Amino acid sequence: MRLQILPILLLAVAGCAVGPEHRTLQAAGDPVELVQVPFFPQDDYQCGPAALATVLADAGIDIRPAQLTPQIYVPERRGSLQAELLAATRRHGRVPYLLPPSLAPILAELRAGRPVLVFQNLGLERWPIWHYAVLVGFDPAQEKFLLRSGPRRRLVTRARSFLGSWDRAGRWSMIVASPSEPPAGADVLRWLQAIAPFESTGKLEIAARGYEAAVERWPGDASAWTALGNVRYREQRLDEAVTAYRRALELAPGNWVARNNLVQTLVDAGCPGRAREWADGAVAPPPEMAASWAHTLEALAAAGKDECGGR
Amino acid sequence: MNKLNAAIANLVMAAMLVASMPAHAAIVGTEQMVTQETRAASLAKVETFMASEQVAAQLEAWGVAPEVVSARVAALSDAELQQLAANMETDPAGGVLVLIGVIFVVLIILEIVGVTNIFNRV
Repeated sequence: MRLQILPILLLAVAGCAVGPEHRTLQAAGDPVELVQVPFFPQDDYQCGPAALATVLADAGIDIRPAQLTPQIYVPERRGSLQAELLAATRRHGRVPYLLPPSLAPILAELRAGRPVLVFQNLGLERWPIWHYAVLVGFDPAQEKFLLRSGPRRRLVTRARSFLGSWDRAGRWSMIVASPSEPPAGADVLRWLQAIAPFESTGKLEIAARGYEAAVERWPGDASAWTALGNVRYREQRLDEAVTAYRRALELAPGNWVARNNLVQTLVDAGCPGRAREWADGAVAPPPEMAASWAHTLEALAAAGKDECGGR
Repeated sequence: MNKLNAAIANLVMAAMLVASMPAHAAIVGTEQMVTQETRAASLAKVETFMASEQVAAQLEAWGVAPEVVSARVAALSDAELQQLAANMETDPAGGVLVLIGVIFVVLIILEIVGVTNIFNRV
């Protein structure tokens, strides 16, 4: 009953993009299946709450999809938005870490025992059918992926069709991490991007744990130290903020965010004299920092007398 | 007309917020640093304020219960709010929709030839 020519035509338009990823799977060694990952069958259009509950429960949170529905379901869209999955993960005190858009890091996380929440387009680019599911395994020899998906506890899917659906949904995938444990394969920028929203939304204690873990994992990274300085500043721990910014500037003297924030912090700490040492002699900042730097210099100019003594 | 009034009120409130912020209000936050924000901090603040209003209104219009909207919006980061405010109507919402008519036929064909696998979900 199979048509002979149609597959060739369709593959010509739909099948090329994931060739390298397919080869990554073929070369991935032993199969993996995370049998302990819980399963919540999906009701109606609620694959978002079901998939998110799956990865949160696997990360040790006592949760049911029904509790997530009021946090991420949008009735008239009959679905859930990606940004709200990230936000809801943070509401439960966990870090939604977005994996880079390639297969190797997904396989590495599965091999490390962590399920991966994936976004799929089960239809076509022109007629999308958006779906969230949780990858729980793969089999290189059989060229299969294993998912918790909708009403299916163990959906075995052909590699090519899964990879195509993930590719058509923008190669979006996330894992749930603890704030003090960046995933083994994490990169510093993605980790800071995952933690920074805690800082912006006032969850400073979690942001601090995330940045502390960042400077421990990447002690030579100036952005990680700057981020730690930022949360210390917001916690009003100004001395610790100064230490962190100075460490960032030792590592990268051209880091303008660190320099700007150090000067501002020293002004706030009543140390305009010390602040001036970091402001004077600085060359012109890059355009995106010009306005912030001008504000900081104004604050420095308006500062009273130096009260910081030996600090 | 109501919409216009609301928009004007928002603008006025945003302008007042900016005006009331002291010039030395803040450091450059990590989110701004890592999302490569190139706009001035004050401008981004206005937009975040406006964006959260806009996202809240859209969620309510889409049937999210008013009593949970503000907590949902408060959990979104500045970058997420701005991105949603700009693209929310076209952003994909994962949920799997009802299949009808021609789409259904196309999907059956695609399923048979192995490009997609939606039907072995069931």
